[in-house]
Amino acid sequence: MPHLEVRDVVKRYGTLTVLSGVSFAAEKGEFVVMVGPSGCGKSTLLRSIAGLEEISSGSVSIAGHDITAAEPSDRGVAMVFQNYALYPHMTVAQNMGFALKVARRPKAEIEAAVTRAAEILRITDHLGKYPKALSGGQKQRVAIGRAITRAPEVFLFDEPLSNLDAALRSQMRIELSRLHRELGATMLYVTHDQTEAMTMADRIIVMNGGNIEQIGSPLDLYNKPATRFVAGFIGSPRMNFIASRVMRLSGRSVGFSLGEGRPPLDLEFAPGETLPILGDAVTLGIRPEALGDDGEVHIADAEVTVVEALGRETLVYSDARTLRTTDSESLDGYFAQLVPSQSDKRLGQQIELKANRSAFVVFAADGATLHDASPIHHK
Amino acid sequence: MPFPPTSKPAGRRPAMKAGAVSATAMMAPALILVGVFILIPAIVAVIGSFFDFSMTSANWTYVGGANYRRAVTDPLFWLAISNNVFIVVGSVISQVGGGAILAAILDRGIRRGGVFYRTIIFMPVVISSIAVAFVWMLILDPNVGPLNAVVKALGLPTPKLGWLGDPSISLWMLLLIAAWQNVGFQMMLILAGLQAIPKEHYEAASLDGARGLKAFWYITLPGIRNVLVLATLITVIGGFKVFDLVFVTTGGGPANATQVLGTYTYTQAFSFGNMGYANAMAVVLLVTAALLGWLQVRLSRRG
Repeated sequence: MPHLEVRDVVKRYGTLTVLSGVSFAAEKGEFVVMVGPSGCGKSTLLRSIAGLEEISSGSVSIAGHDITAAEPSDRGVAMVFQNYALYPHMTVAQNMGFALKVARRPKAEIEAAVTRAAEILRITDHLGKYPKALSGGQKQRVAIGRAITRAPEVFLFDEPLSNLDAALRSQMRIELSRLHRELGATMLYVTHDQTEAMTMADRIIVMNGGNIEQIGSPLDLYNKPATRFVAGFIGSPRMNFIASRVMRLSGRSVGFSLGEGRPPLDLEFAPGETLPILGDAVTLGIRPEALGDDGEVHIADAEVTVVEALGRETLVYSDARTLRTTDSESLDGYFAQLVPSQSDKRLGQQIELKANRSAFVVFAADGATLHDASPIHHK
Repeated sequence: MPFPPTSKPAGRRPAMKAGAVSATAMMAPALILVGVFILIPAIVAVIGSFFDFSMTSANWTYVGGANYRRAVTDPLFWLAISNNVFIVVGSVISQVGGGAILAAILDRGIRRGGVFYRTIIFMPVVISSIAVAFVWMLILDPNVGPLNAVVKALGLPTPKLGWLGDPSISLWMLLLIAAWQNVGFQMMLILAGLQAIPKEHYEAASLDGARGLKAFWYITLPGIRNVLVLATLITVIGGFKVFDLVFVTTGGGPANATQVLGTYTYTQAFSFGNMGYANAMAVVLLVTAALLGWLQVRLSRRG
């Protein structure tokens, strides 16, 4: 039986539907991350599970109990808020022990729980301080400590690291992963940061427009995105998208246009994959790291417009005027290329964009994935 | 640290000197006004309280602490003080308590019209006390006032001597008028305090099991504690200093029933010409207000 089960949850504000029938389940001890753009409903879903939002229909159960109508404190959940939400007039210890105090637990028990949580989070030195004397990272630890002392069935995190600076954020990512292992607790984590999702999650839920686009392990989502949305959302820089059309069909071999006067790109569809229809508008996708100077397919000639030298790797952006992208979030005809080393590419340089056949993903007009790429392995 | 610490203060000293000069120049107008209209009169009042003189006296007679001894033995002085205390306690309950209830209703009790009610309730705050006093004298007038008409229409008895003329009612009426005028101010203060408490604190508390009264006790009350202290002290100081409202509506009457320190001081000074005695009472008021003001600063710093 799943530890946390969300079934057909619908949330409406008046005529606005924020969640349109969302279902998923998490096993005990699983770290599940919900990602998606702003307004996709991920925070609303988390708050609905916490009991801070009333859902319009559907059900939520935790550890076998239906808690759809239960009070927030009776659900067996603890939540860590984006802006910490520490009680300013209580010390760190009082903040962490507050839930137990409200529940009238004996003093010794409260103290033991607070001490243990403080040791796990290494904030024992700060127990007597007030929140205003703490740094952002320390406040976030206290907020997590407040959740730990309650020993909940499920931990809920609402973008807990987004107020921290980049260095602290990557440190806290590692700590949260460690914490998850130590506590063996079920955790549901909302973020818009795909790095957090990829690095911490056992499974990722990608949400878009009040629906779940795909649920899977980080690498599953990266290698086999179910939709163009997922392909574009997971991975940075994002996947390059090329507007194309089905030019020929023979058996499981499909030819796609690569611009006027260019030979079509022939891809072999696997037996399980749905074949498109001749003349269909489709989108070809290719990851930035799959683009290079050599490869079986010559995609386009392009001019280098931006070079971002990151030291270990280089991002090369180039303009291929002969091709159209179908992605509203990237400029028409701009390609992102990830070179896994330093590069001598220069602004204005003419380059050839090439890739292997196996690197192409094909999406139907409605966004569903028709054909997967093979992951690239460096030996 | 990139720079040796010793070089810092040395480098900043000239700038601070220039800053101090311009700061003094900027504050000068305010300092002069405070000096001329508050500080100097206060010092003169303290000095004058040790003398016997009238408005037109050419010579002041030194009497030592006689004016203060007179106050201690003057039953009217004690009556005035007890009336002040009555107004202070009544105002804290009606203005701070009432303001808190109104603020709570506006904060979460009503769905729409919040700005409208807030404006209406706040409006009397911006009207001069004198105008408020005259408006209420009309309302409370035993012959033409609407209050009498309403009470009579309900078949209830009205006070024979009038609302402000009956010694057993008049002080209560002053309390009512003061509350009507000031409750909007306290409401605004407390409302601002309530709205400064982040929504997440209540959400975190509800997850921690504190809802309703518990949330009020553990989250709301500590959250507005400083505001409540401030509102209470403003009201207490205002209650001790009250003058214009009483002076216009009852002049301290009937039969000294509404005599307060402010009006009694005025009467001694300008009706009886006992300037020294009036100064002594004014100093008592000054010391009380200063003590309370000091308390206010201290308490607000602690929070």
